[in-house]
Amino acid sequence: MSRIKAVDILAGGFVVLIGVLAIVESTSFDMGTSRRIGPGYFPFYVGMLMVLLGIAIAVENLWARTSSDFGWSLPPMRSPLLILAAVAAFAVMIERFGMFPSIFAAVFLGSLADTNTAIWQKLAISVAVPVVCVVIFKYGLSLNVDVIRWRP
Amino acid sequence: MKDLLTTTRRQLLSLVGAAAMTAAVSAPALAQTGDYPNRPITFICAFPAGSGADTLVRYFANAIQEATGHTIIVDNKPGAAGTISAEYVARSDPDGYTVYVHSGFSTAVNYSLWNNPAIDPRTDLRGVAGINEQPFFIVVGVDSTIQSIEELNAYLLAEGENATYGTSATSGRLLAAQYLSELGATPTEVPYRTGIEMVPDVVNLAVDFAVTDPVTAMVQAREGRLRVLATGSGSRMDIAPDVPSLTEYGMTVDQVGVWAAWVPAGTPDDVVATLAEMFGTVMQEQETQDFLRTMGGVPWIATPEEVDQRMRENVEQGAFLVDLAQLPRN
Amino acid sequence: MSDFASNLALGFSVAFSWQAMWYCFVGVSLGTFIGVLPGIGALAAIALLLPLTFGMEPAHALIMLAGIYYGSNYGGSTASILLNLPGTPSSAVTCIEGYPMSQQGRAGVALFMTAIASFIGSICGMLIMAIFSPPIAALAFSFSAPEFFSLMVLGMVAASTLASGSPLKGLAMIGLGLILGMVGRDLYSGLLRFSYGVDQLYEGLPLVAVALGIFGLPEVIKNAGQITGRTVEARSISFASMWPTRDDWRRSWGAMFRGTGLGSFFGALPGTGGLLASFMSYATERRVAKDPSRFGKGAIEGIAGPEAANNAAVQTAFIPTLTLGIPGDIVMAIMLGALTIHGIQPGVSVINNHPDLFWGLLVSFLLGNFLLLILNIPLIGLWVRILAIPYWVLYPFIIAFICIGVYSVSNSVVDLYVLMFFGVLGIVMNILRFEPAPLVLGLILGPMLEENLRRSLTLYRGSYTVFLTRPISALFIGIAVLILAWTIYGMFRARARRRAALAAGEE
Repeated sequence: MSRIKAVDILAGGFVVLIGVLAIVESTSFDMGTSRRIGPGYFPFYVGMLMVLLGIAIAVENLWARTSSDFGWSLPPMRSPLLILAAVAAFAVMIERFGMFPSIFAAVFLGSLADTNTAIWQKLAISVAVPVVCVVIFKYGLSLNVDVIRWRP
Repeated sequence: MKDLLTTTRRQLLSLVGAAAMTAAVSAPALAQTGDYPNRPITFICAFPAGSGADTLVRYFANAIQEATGHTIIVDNKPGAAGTISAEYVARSDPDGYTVYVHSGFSTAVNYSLWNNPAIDPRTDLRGVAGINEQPFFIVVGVDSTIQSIEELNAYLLAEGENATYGTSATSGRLLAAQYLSELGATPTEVPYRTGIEMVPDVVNLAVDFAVTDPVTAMVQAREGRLRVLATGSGSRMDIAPDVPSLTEYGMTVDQVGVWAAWVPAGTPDDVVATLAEMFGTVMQEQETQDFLRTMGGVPWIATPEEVDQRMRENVEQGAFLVDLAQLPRN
Repeated sequence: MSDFASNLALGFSVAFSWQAMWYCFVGVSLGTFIGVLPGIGALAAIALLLPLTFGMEPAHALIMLAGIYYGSNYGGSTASILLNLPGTPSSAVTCIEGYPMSQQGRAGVALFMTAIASFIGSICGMLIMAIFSPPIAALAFSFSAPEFFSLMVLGMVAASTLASGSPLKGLAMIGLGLILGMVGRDLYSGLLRFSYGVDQLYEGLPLVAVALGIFGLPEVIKNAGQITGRTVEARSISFASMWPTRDDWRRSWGAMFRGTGLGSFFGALPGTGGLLASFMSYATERRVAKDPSRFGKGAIEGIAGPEAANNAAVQTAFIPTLTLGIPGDIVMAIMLGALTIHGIQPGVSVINNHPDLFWGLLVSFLLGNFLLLILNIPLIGLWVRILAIPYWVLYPFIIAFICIGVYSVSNSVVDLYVLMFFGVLGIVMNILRFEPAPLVLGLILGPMLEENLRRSLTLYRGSYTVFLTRPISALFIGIAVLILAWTIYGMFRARARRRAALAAGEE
């Protein structure tokens, strides 16, 4: 119960923040007239709604009268960073080097997120996945992507 | 010449093929010397796979492949109303292996829709061959009391801002803007994403009139839901010979979308000539002409020079119309 | 009625020719397998295979394409249930209950019920299409901007109760979805909003990247390195283990029929289609359940209802497409394109001029759905075995499939950065306990909501009363208000109970 409270306040703040962003963006656009509302109208009111919702979410459980333990920690960062790096590697490489190298790199980076496997397992899977992908997507579905190319 | 080519042909069709899906084995993407083409040619389509425009691009890819035996691949690069694909083609190697099959009018108009256009289609692209000309149409619901363009004119002038009209696509907005400016009327615009999305509101008479693409106009008119009052082209088009043009009513309106093929500006003359010949062969076929008519256009057989000339005119016209319609530049 | 019988006979003669049956089979089986791959949904599948149909008879081409369409819908639920990877927005709903069931080792049951619900939804949808095609087609014309606006409002209000936690958080996620839906070019003014200088967002956020980002990536991140084995032993996969219990059946029957009704209705409305139907069906099941607290933790009726709804909608979506030439969604638009290539212009005349095509297609749905059932029940065992693969082998495949799936939609690297962005957002949402499903709904309905609001105000002279003076619109608004009132009442009642319990504890 106590943890939920800290999370709710953060969650409310998050929603308020998005609402404020929307309102800020809406100010650079015209609000229009009642018959022809402009591009700023909808973002402004949705933004206002978000601010109100955010406040409501934050205070919703304040009345529950539980201890004010704000204990809250970030989850471990290794796995998120490596998996995101995997996607980034694919994004950077796919149009330069083609399907095989980009998937190899992505999978190898991704496999580092698992600390329980040996290096030979990581390398084996990094070769196996691109092979399977090339078979399915290139030869199976004739996806229009080169297997290997060189345009750095 | 064909026999010298060693590229594998794409094994299309055959239903066993569908199950196993034997695919094109693309040759290495290295520039090779020798006769053009000696590896697959890629057609760039600015719309998502499966869209109406994609259908047209794939028709030509397929027809040219069948007629010449060269492998043609279609690559969809949708985004930013064709800006992404136009830039991609303009920046490709000028070797004739990357061909842009798209609407020249919208490429030209895009040049005026951005503060810093990625390319200048007049100098960064080189025309290869014409494909078709497509006008937009002015329509009303079939239950509307308005029977002709004269009655519409009178109605709009009388009603002022109370009158409403639907538009779809940038081409629709531009045609509407020029028509209304010539007429001097100021009805209120209601934009829609596609012509088809607009149909129920036109049929229900929720909007007084609409400007829509040829496919929607022709199909829905045939189904007895819409009445086509006028075409935006300078003269009557042979897909709809009964529909008058606005010029017949003394208005200076001549807007025709053109589809054509382009390559990057630096492509050598002989490569352009070879490509133009491929398109020319297919354009002569009756089947192609019938297909282009069902897509709502009139076949446009044009030389590379004519395509370039049309692009220059379209860029100029586009700039004028974008200002007239007061569309913003992003 | 004798017309109907002779039409049906014609349909059977077309659909049960050897060739047609073969194309139908190829279509549904390709659809199933492609649908299972995350991100490669019906759209990509049909687009990839469209060129193959150029040389075929129009009826056969349509039968095969339709087979791919509903086949991939079938397959799409599989990845959602097993791996929390929704390939299409409407299977995002299936994730809510399907993935928890899978984690409890009941993946087989969930997949089995999906197959049954999809079958029932499809068959009923098909029958409705056969009998009520003309009146349903007319429905499309009685809907104008105010009706669509009110319908979207109703859908969103109903969907806010999807979140297993607070309805306020559900509403906030819909709001976030609405804001994200504004990214890109504004239809009215032509201006770019919320694009922050990224021109590639001109046409809005790529849906597949968003859905796989907020559902798929956080799941992979959470599990990588944490799980060595999975919940299922390969040995334990028997027919018995996938057979739903009596309790499961009891809960699911009603859900399936309610879902079918909703799906048939929404499918016939152009533009909303299966997505709204799935969300509405899920919300309905939560409303009618005796014990709503089971939801979010693997309640089977939360799969059965939406799956039936989605599949019924898939069938009835053919009505506006074929009879009015107004496609309900992008996939239907592609089908229209396929017809055009064969020189057939869609419209009411399709039924009159090409009765073989219309009725043949209809009967092929019947055949196709039987084939799907026969194909899928044995496959469940295979799919469940995916979970028996060690996770260190499985998750690299998932990463690769997600990347390729997202990239292949429009060959755009920017879409991959969008995927990463939403992966991060998904993690943040996980930590803050927000549910992703309402966001997806808001994102898709957002542009339609805004456009129909603006359209209504322009067409009806700037007056908000139009939403209450038009009867169909007023009905939707009325239902939305009732749901909202009920939800607020429920929140206060829950708080009162909690206080009472707290007070009792202090004494």
